[in-house]
Amino acid sequence: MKITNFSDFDALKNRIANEQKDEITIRVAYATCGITAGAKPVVEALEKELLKHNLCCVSLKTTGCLGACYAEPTVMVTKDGVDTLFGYVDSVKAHEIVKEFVLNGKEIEGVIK
Amino acid sequence: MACKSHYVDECYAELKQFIEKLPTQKGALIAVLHKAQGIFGFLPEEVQDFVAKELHINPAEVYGVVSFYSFFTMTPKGDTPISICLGTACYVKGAEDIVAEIKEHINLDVGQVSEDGKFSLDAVRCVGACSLAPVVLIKDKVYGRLKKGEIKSILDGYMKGESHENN
Amino acid sequence: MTEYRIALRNSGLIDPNDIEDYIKNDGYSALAKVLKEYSADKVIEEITASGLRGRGGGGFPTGVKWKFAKSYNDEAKFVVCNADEGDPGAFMDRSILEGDPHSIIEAMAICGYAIESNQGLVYLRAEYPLAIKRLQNAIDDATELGLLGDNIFGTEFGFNIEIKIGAGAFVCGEETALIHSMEGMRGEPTLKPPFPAESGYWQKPTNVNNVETFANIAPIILKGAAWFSSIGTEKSKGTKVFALAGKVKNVGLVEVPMGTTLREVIFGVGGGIENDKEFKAAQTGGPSGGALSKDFLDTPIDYDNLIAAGSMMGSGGMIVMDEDDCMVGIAKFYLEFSVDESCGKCTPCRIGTKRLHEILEKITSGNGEIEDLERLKKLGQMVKETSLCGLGQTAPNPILSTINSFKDEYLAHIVDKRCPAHRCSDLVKYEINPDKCVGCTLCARACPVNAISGSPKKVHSINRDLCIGCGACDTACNFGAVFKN
Repeated sequence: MKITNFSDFDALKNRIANEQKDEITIRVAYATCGITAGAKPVVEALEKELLKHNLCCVSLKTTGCLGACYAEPTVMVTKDGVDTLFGYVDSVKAHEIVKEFVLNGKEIEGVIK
Repeated sequence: MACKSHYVDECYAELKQFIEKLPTQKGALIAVLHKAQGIFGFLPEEVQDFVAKELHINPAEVYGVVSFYSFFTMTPKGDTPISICLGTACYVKGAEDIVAEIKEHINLDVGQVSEDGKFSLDAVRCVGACSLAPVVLIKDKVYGRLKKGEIKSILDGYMKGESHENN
Repeated sequence: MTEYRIALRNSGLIDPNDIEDYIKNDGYSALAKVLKEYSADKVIEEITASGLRGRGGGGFPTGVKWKFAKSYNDEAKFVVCNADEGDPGAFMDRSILEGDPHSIIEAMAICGYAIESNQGLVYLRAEYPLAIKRLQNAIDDATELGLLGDNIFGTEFGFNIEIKIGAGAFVCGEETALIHSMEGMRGEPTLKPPFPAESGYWQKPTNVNNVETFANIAPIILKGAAWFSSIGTEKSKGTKVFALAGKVKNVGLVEVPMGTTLREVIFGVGGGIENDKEFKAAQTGGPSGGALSKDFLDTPIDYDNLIAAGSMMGSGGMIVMDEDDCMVGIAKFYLEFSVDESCGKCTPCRIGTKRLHEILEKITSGNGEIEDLERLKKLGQMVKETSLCGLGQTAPNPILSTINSFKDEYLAHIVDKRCPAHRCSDLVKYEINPDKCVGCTLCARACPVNAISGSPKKVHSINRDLCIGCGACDTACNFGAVFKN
């Protein structure tokens, strides 16, 4: 699709705004420092765990830097509009985040904000 | 990848092709040198002469640019290039001590290549991973939050031919 | 004090490789608004009224810069984004390009419309491969969607963006040097005027702004100049992103309103000093800035206050130092950087920085004389006043500011031949704590210069004049009795 006038753009904005929203969003800070600190295996672990539990209403995103460089790799989970930021995440922690925090709603360690 | 001697002709052909495909040669010198260094691994005099000829400029102009920018090098790197970050964050977190440890352990100073061609040591200005300071890059791997003594065992691993997991 | 995100509004929240995620967060709405409702002059008026100043270091009013660029008519004009983030320890530009590349593309297009230019160029460091990749991807996506290219939104306005990759030279952050580097030449600065607005890239009118400056443009257009100018201080509006690094607990990026104090940044968002050591100084502005001592902790940070304090805003690097850092050593570190990075074109910078560095070397190796302080000040002032570009004009700042705030440390090095932070290896000597020494003789046997005397089972002592500071005794001692002094 190519936007050729202002109404095309408004239509696109409307379409995006009306897309069904996932209830839960998981974001992994995936900029140079995050990747250097080991964000890649974290993403892979999250993908694997999400697939395992067949979770449909959860979206996984790789984003840029969130600023909490000291605690990289970081993972932010947005649930019911509330953000929870986990720091120093590794693949073990990633599994725990999906299984315990997202799925079972348990409070787990490793929250930095 | 560095250009191995028996592929030299192919390397020049690749560079020539890149230059011919440029939309304009005006102002393209730095882009061409990036490509050339990517092909040859470094920029010896012959390569600089070749670039000058292809771009119809004076070799002195090419040399002037190569020597101006720290990214371009006229000497080949070791098989295992070590880059130590000497940005400010790494400096205050003790990067100098690591340089000293490397020097003591494998007798290599910043800017040098070891006699057997195995290691080379360079200083870089900030790789932007300040939260992991002090940082050392070996080949493409980043070793961050290094503590005293750790670099020695990492280097020992490379000497034995094994590489470490990224930490 | 809270963080307030304008430039970093999307970073870490959206997927930088997904243009729709950007559009969902009001992306490209500012460009649409401008093309639909604003004249070029109206855009410039709005940016001028917002009070936005250049975030790359100089702090020049952005709207005024755009107005200059618009005033020169030519068939070709250029919008340049300076992404040559050379200050070691600053990484906000990389973060923005990696986390929110479309915000820069949109802002450059708005600038193009305002100054009547159809071509944008981003000068990006070769050291940032991921930023290059993500920005190129974003440019391709925007072009495919018709948000770059000819007749954007069906209007007469067209705009394209090309990435130019640098090759590692700090001086290329200076706009005239940057332009020469984009032309494929040595990145040497030239005298201003003519300013790039009149004669820049290939002698055409060129407007250069930094990444973070551009990242503020779309929110100003959408929310209005009045909103933006309500944030910050009288002469410094909006927010500033700082890259906190060094001896601070929470290393990272913070964006705070102008006028926030150093204390709030370092001890609030930053979480205080690592290992609960004592704060000694914060260096802002990198090699061009100065060290701010604890006397400045409660000074509101803005362009003018930092200059008054002998430092500068710079690009926003903030390196925190604690009691273990030697301020003379830090000044020497920055000067070494400036010596390395001086392009060599003008004499004051090429030779002056070298001489300044030599004097510091002399002081830290224990050969300093009291007259050296005056020499540093006089030569530093001269280099500042006579250098061609910003690099030389600011290079002496780390020395001048540390002499000003930490004169006692210089005197300790010069007069007492001591480094209070025990960092200058030529001045570090070891001593033995008599309460801990058990007289095992290990240290005396380890000492390569026989500087340690004492008989078995008696307290040992080190002859300061003979000690070479190698630390062999410290390594040998099993009782923690050896310490630096």
